[in-house]
Amino acid sequence: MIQPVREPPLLVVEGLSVHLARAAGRGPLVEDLSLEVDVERVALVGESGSGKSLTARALLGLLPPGLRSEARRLEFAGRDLRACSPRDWAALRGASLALVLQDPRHALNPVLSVGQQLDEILRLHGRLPRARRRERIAEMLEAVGLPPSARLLAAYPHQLSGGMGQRAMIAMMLINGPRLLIADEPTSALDAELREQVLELITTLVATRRMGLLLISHDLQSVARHCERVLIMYRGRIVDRCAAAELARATHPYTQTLWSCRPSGSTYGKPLPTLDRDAIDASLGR
Amino acid sequence: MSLIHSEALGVEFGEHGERRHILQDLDLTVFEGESFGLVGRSGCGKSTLLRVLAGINRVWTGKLRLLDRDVVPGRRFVGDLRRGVQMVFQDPYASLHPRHTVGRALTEPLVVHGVSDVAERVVAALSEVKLDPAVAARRPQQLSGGQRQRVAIARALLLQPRLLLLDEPTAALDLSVQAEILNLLNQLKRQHAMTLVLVSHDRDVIAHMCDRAAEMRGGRIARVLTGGELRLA
Amino acid sequence: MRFPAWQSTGWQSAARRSPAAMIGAVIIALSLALAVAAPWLAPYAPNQPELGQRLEAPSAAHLLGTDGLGRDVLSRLLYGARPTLALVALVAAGMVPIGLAAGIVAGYYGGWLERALMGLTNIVMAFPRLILALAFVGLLGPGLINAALALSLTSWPAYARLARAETRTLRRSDYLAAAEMQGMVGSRLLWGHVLPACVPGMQVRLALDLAGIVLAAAALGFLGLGVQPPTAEWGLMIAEGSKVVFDQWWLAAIPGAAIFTLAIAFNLLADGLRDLGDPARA
Repeated sequence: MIQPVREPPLLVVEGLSVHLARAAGRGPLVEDLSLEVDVERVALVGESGSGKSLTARALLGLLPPGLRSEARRLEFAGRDLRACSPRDWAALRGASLALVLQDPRHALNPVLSVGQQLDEILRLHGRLPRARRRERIAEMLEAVGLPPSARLLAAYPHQLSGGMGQRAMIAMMLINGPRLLIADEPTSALDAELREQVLELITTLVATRRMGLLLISHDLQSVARHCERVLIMYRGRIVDRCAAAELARATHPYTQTLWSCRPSGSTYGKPLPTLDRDAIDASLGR
Repeated sequence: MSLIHSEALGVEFGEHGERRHILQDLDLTVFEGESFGLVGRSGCGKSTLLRVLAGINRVWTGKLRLLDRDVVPGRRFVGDLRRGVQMVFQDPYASLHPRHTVGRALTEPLVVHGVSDVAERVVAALSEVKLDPAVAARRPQQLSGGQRQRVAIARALLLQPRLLLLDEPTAALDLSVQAEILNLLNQLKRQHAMTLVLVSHDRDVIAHMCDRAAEMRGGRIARVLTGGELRLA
Repeated sequence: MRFPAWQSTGWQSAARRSPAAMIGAVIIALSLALAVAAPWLAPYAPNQPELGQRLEAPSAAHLLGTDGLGRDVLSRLLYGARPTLALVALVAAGMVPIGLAAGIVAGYYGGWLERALMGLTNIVMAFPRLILALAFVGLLGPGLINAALALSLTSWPAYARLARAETRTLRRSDYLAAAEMQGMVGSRLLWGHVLPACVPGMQVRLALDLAGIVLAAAALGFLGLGVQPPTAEWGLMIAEGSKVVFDQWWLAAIPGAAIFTLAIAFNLLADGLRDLGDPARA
């Protein structure tokens, strides 16, 4: 039987580490991290300071000045990202690789309207004639649940509510049909009600467009509903890997606590489980 | 015994021709010793209501009775009333002065109210929120989000309030840190026999923390949920 | 809210991170030191005319030559630093408190008070600084104090605007609300809470302004409106030297270079402070 040629997984990371350029006694911020993302939804979960956002930025070559990263392997669709020049990156980002950030008001250009920004991104990475661009923009806006109206296209980011701004950002990031979407806490700045909606939107779009998704969050229960696999990070390392369906039965103490520390009506009157950080540090040999 | 009682409370905003009602026709009763929640989407007026109760927003209409006294709009809270009502803000980074050390942030209120034995009180306050006394020498930037919020809570407790107002106290925190802070709040509430009014957009937090809650929409109270209803939702 | 990195990490690491700030600071410190130590360092008395040695080129005896009255240029340069630096210090001491006070009061109380103060600020800002300073000095007479007064009274608006913007933001923030909840009111709030918030923005602005003040002070001196001859002052020295600039070019060029260096030093310091305070570069 002829085996079909397997395409390489969308994203392969092996031995990624991020540290301060002038190290001066501080350990690495991300240490020896390895993960793979294919056409699936993977969540990277950890608390503030666990290094999850830094990981996302390192994957996209967007580390802030003063930080350096290295990896044994860092490949996107078979292409070695470590060898990318700034020009290569510019061509990749927004076209094949997309990043959705936490606060759309800070990530969108405040002096351009929504319509202008969507148009700009299309023109940066393609050569569609204006009429086609308008169609694409309208399609994309509908896909994210925004009215493709003249009013919306003329609106500036600060005029949009949190949820709308986030949808606009998603539209911008997906309009060029990327293969991989990295979403860094895309719902943290939103009200609880909107969070579910926006996450639903992201996962639906990702599924219908056969994309890979790396969702970064600190809310384990929330990502469990939307992702297939979960990677748990703590202080720069991945400490547990789990299928989303298995999270309730996790055995790692950190994962267990993260899973059960959510408040709800059923925890009323009882103290919530909290992390015993010393014990976890000890188990990691620190 | 009702600690808070308001009738037809209203807050308007805006200038001639463009007045908006941020709060309208609000009748609210909160009993002593309970944990009362205010829940609703952004813009429903819950934070404004909290600020009226805190005495920060002094432009309102209607009747308000707080801590067994009638409150009049336009006047700052003084004396027992000022000490008796304290607040923990949402973003500790924005409510702790970045150029003051923690020690100063905790000392100042005591000095202003003429309390003696300030140093001991500060150390006691820090240990109550499970912070090392060495934290007093640090500035907010040097603390984590959870630590900052603990400092904010310690500061709110310094004057021994009967009523503690909390404006989304854990919204800016990780889930695991939120769990720690919520546990701390419940413990302190029992220890100091306080009444809590908690604002949150997160129904799970309200369901966990509160005995009763008011659902707000468009500046009004749409519904008051009893304990049972909260647990079911 | 920004928080200058250099205040929490110590000046040594600040120096490493911004050589510009370090260089600027060193030059300024050196100028101050030289000005203070002038009586001990100057080889001659600055105001001692020696008519037999007029307009001499730099030599071993007079390292920077002599001027039209035979006075040693090097000594006059060293002594001349004093009025310049004194003027800069006086102006800073005048304009910053006035500006901050106006801005904080305007931003905190709002209403008609804010409108009145900001109106005044805009009016003063609309006038060209040097011309207004000339008018002041014309009214009050020349001299160091009057020149300092004139420059302060025309330079405070920038600080008022800065302070008012900062105060307005603060008013809406939770810092003041939290302080109010602790029962703090009035002056304690303004001094202890609002003022410190205005300081970071002001520091960079001040360093930058001082560069301009150095030049403005020199300009006033050049026009004869600052300290009067025979006192040594850099602007005055340039004025005197400009009369013979084609033959004894150094008489104007040397004080000019001193002014230039000092102004650049303040610019570098301002640049460096801004970078140090910028969290993106920290």
